[in-house]
Formats: sequence, C-alpha cells, structure tokens
Amino acid sequence: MTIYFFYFFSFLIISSSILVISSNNAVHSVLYLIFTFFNSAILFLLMNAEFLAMTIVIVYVGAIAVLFLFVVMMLNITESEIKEGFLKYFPFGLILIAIFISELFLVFNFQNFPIPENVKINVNEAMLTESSNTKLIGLFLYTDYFIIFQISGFILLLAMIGAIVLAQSDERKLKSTSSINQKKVRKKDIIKLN
Amino acid sequence: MLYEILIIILKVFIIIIPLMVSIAYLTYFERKVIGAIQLRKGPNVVGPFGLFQPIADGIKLLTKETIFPQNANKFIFAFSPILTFALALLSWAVIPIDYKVVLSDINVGIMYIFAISSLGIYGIIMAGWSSNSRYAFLGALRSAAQMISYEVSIGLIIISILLTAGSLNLSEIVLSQENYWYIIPHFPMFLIFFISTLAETNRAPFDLPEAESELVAGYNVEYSSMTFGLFFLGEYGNMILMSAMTTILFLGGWLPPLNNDFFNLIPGFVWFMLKVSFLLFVFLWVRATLPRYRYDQLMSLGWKLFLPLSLFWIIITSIVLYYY
Repeated sequence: MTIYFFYFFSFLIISSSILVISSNNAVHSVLYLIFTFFNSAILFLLMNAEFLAMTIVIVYVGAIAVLFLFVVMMLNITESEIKEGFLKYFPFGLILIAIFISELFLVFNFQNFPIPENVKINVNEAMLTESSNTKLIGLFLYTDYFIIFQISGFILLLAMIGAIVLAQSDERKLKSTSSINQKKVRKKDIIKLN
Repeated sequence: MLYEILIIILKVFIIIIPLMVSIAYLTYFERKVIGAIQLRKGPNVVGPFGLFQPIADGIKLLTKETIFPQNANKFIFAFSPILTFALALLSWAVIPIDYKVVLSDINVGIMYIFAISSLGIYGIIMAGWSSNSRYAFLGALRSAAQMISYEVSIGLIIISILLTAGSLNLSEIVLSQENYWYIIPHFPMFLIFFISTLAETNRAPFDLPEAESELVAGYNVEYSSMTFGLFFLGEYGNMILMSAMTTILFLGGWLPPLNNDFFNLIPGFVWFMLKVSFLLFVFLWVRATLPRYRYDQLMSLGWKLFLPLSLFWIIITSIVLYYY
C-alpha cells in the first residue's frame, strides 16, 4: 500500500517541479514550489519520519516559501524577462544537476553512511528501544553529531549576518521625525488665527 | 478497511458539526458581548433573543451572488477561501477534548498544529494577490508580515512548554499538568502567547490586515457571498482553535482546576469548553476595549519585545529544569 502512495506522491513532486520551471507566471511557479515542498513532507510521513515531515512543512512551506512569495509578488517581472537568461544559465544548471546526481550515487553506493569515530549510540539498538523519532533525532544530534550540528548552526548565523549587512545601506534615505520633536510642537506655533 | 474509513468519516463529522455550530454562535456571542460593552442590545430581532441571527446571516451569505473581479486570477481567487477554511478545520484532528477523546493521537501533535497554522498565511496572501486590487494586496502583505513575526514568538513559547512537559503529544502535555497548570510557572509566557494569538488570528487590536478605516476591508475586499463567508468562518474557526491551544498548553486542557470529588463530577470536555469560552470572551473583550495598533508599533512589539523575552524564557526554563 505504502509503495503506491510513494509512487503517487513522487509523481506529484516531479510533475509540479517541472511546472515550477516551465510556468510563465512567477507567482504560479512559487505556488507549485510550495506544492512540491508539501508533497516531499508527505514522503517523509510515509517513511514514519513524522518529526522531519512537520519540520519541512514549518520551515520550508511556513516560512521560506512565504518570503519567496512575498518577494515575487512585489517584483514586476514579465514573461520575456524570465525566459531571457535561459541559455546563459543553462550550463550552470547542467553542472548543478551533475553534482546532485553524483551525490545521489555516492549515497546509494555506500550503504552505511560514514559514521564518526567513537560513536556512543548504536543506530540499530536505538531504533529498537525508542519509538518516537523526535527523541532519536535529539539523541543523535546532541551526542555523536554535536559538532556537525553546531557548525551548521554557525553557517546559518553567518548567512543571517550576511543578509543583514547586504540589506543595510550607509545612506540614510529614510524621511523620519523623532517623536520627541513631535511632542514639543505646540498648537500656537502651528495654527494661526487672523 | 472500508468499515474503518467509514468510522473515521463519522468521527470527522462528530467533530466538524459542533465546530460549525460553535463558529456560527461565536459570531452571535461576539455581537452580544460587544453590544453589552457598548450599552446596546445587540441582535435581538430574529428568533428569541436573536438566537437565529447566525442562521439568517448564513442564508444571506449563501444566496447572494458570487462576483469574480474581471482581472482576477480565477482559480486562485476561488481556491484561497477554501484553503483558509479547510486549514481552520484541519488542526482539530489532533486536539484532545477529553481524556482519549481525540481523532488521531499522533506523537508530534503540537508540531502538526504549528505547521497547519503556519500555512494559514497562504489563504490570505493568495486572496490578496489574485483579486488584483490595491487594497486587497496591501492587506495581504501586511497580514503576511504580521503572521510571520508573531509565529516566531509563538513557536519559542511552545518550545518552553514542551521542555516542561517533555513531550510533543498534546494529551501528554495536558496530563503532565495534573499537579499544576502551566499558567502558574509560565505566567508571563501565557500573556505573550495570548497577545500573539490575537495577532496570529488577525483580531483587534492587531486587525491591521482588514483595517476598515484605511484599507476598506483588506484582503477580502473583492470577495462576496460564500467566498467571503468562508474567510469569515475561517477567522472565527481559527479563534476557537487558538483558544483551544492556549487551553491545552497553559490551562490544563480537560483537567479540573482542583483535583477533588466535586470538580471531578463534571466531565472533562465541559471543563475544556468552559476554558475555551472564557478565552473567547477575552478575545471579544479586547476587541471592544482597545484601539487598533499602528503598524510599526505592531512590528516592534513582535520583534523587539516578544522575541527576546520568549527566547530568554526558554533559557531560564532549561536552566531550571536541568537543576531541579
């Protein structure tokens, strides 16, 4: 039964991700992208990884895709502008595809992932004892993979700082009045009756 | 197989039909409460005490003409109210009304609710974009920014509750409050959570997305008849859902206030409904009392006050839990 669901949802993922790159309207593309994220969360659910499924919905659909949609809606892109850079970016796309496919091959060829040395928790034993995968993920992330976890957090922090630095410009273009000056204004200074 | 599916569908109806009735009567309750606060009578013409007013409103909404704006994106325009309403109903699958009275007792219940409520933005932002109107678009943009900002502090507050309960399952969170409700140790977070739910459901004083005085009616200005009705039902459904969530996280769900024989006589779902009704009353009370926030005030409240406070509270909670 699960395998049919898997085929159904992966068919939906592939078809909607093709629609992401082929649709003419940028907003429609983002909506298809959201649909893709959602279906990939369902794939995790089919593998009994409910924590990851919910995290994907919360992080990707609930936060990142909203910001995508937010930006795309406010940009005024026409159809021709989208198609313009196709040939220019095509080689880069091919390189990315090659990288991802080779990564997939690496993952599937080495059945057991490289495990850090002196592992304290055995994966198979833990799977038997604990039923909730939330606890298991916590157990692994904060013991054996602690340093990798911290490094990924640090990369995210760097990205955040980078975004803030890019967004801040030195010029102060904002027209603003301080609230203290506003409070100092008296009626007799502004309204004159002749 | 078929039999099991039929049973599940029956259970869904047992949840949804009372929910729809309570959404309908919440609108009546709101008009009565605001009427009483403003020394008016509220609806009192249709039926005894105006009790049939929600039904009359429903018939009115159903029988009016559905108008599609000329330049609107038809599919998204029709889809977004359906999405909003469906999302308001979806979360009820995991809400425990009494001990073991829940449609599906999944072990990431609280994350499920959080995920579903974070999807609620899409209904609004798609409605605003697809109606191809300036007012609707501005309302949708405001609403998206507001909901994202307050979701952050809601998520952080949920984390500190989860740390105390030690589980993501909603029933277990309620059962862990047997000795004391979490409103006692987490009182400041209760206040922040309640204010954030006001912002999350776009209710007054944070009803900027539909600020009547400046944006006409915000994202739903182009909607008529039942498409508008679905937005309306979705908003009130979300109010009830958020109150239920506050009840589960802070007010001990179906548990009575004191564990003695007299209180235990009253069944758990009655306690649950009493608590939810009280919180809903506070929602309406706040709406009738406070003026609307300014947009920059709303943003600075969310990011500069609630976010650091709730983050700080997580650290305090973890320190306390680690040492005791």
